[in-house]
Amino acid sequence: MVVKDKDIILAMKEHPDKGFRLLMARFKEPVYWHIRRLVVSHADAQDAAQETFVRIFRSFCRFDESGSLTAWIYRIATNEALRILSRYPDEQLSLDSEDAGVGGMMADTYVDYGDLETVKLQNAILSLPAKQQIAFNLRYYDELDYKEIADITGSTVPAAKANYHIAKDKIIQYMNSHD
Amino acid sequence: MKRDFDFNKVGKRMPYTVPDNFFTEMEDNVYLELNAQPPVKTRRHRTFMRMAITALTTAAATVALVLILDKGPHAVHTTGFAEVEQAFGNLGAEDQVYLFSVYQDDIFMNE
Repeated sequence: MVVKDKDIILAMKEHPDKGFRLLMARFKEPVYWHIRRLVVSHADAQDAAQETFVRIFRSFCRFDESGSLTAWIYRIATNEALRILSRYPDEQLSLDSEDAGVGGMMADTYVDYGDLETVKLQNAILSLPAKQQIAFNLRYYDELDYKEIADITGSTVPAAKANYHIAKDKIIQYMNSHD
Repeated sequence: MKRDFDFNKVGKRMPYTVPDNFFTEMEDNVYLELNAQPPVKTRRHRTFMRMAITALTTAAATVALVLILDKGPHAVHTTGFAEVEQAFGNLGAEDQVYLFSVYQDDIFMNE
């Protein structure tokens, strides 16, 4: 059974240790995979995911309950992923940039390069500008709604929708042209 | 005619993998990091610590002064300059600096 956001928030306020365990149980895997899809490297994704949860615990008192807990957590995770990527001068990915991403997967021990179709799909996603990558990943893999995606990327619902659909079209084009 | 790419062919499958027991290890690392780092100090806590340090320093300086300058009714001899020098030398560096800063401009002692 999936623990609801409001139950986690209540537990965090009344018993922070217990609440944080609930939060970790619910979000550790989705947060890791969200970061992993952006940074590719397992080691970097691990660093960013761990730092994300440390930040969540330490700054929970600043969480605005009128917003979505899921969006708040993914926003922190996204920022951590972008911060990790900013270490690599050639792989800058910024929410403010309309430039395309690096467009390829770096070598990593924890990638199954034998699964060609999935490697190609990830390459297609990585070729997109940051906002399109993030909007696509959050909608396609995490099934978040457009309001949450807008909150995470600091944009509007129409912009989040547009980013997702543009991303999807570009991915189809990429997949068709890289047979 | 060539057909468009079908997302259902791949679904949510990804080429990425993780080491065995990775998520348990990651969770443990987060708890370790949270336990290792001291909690963020609040302004109230910092103010209290500053006041406590000031009060303790003042008390220590007062005791040191009383011990050095006390010539109560039981004092039977006048302390010579060499003894004062020796007592001063036995003090810690911080206390020496403190005493020196306090008394170097004392017009009564320097008369």
